[in-house]
Amino acid sequence: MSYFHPQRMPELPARRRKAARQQLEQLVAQSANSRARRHPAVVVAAAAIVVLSTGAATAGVVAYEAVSDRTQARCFAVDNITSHDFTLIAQASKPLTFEVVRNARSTCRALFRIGVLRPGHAPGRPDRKPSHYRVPPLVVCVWSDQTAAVFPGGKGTCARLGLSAAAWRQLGPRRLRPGTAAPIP
Amino acid sequence: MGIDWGSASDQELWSQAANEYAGEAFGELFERHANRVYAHCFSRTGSWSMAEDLTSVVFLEAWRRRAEVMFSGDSALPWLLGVANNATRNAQRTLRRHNLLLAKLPPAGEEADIAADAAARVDQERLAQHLLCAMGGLRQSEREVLALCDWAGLSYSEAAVAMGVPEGTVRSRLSRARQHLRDLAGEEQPRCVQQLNRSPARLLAGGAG
Repeated sequence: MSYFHPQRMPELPARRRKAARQQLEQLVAQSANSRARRHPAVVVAAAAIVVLSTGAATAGVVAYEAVSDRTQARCFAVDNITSHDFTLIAQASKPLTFEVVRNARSTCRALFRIGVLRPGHAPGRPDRKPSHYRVPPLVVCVWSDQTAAVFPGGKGTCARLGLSAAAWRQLGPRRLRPGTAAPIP
Repeated sequence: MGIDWGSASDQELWSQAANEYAGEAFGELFERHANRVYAHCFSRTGSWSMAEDLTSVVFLEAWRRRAEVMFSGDSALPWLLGVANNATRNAQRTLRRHNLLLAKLPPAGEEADIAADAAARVDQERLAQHLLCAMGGLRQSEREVLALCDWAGLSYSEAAVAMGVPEGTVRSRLSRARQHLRDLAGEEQPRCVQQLNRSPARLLAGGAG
């Protein structure tokens, strides 16, 4: 027999494994929560600014804008920018990790699929079987800080919310003027 | 009922690092990869107890360096094994950094209480130490590439992520490492030579036990 093949190696002892996992979860939760506590107030302020400054966007012309900041993105459970029912996804600094945010829509879709987000509800624990989680149609808009904000909804949702729709597909900020029409992401 | 983290990919779990689910998501990542990390740490240190401590340390370090994660496909395992490489390379220093947290865990090696299992663990530890002794003549990078590809079973591209080098470098480094190990096997090294009559790849295939 081989001693070194990982599948034949003894497993991490159960007691140690449980304790190590608990410790990791606690440490991570404490660290994450201490940063997460800040954002609701920021969101309210940012939302107010967006509502005041982009009222004209509902005039029937769909505006597109590039998402220039891909360090994070928001996944909303309701199509309401004043709602706190959203979750932040990935902050990253290296090229490959941008994929999580670059593919914000698919990441948010996955969060709906596994039950972290439920349409119309605050992010929370699901009460149904995983296979029953519904993934609504999602649309990517541009938040006031140039990050992506993903909402349940379709065409016109961004405009109704007073946001620009995201022009993801390689129309960088230098080539795309704010408000210029561009391919639907 | 809890969230169905089990069906989420590593990338999806990692994406939770910025919110209130981070703890549960990293707990799932730990559950998913702890055994592979443990096995890798053991193969790099030849000590079960140190491997237990280092497994915790790898995940704590992974959290500390979470913004640097690199995925191979959807998996974070290669990157975690890269973190494990760094942790084992500087084991004493790394363990010291996390000493306070490690002190709160059950003592390492405490559960090897069934006689047969305990004997097997002692045998494995002895063999690992023989192999590590044999590999002492290799460069650090050669030892790492052997551990990742031949022992942990990573593909070239996964090992490239773990080591932070191009895939071609992994291939050439692995080839040199195997040749170097064969050369060492031919030299007189009484403590190690018996194990070295077989390459790690052949040991993997079933010849060691």
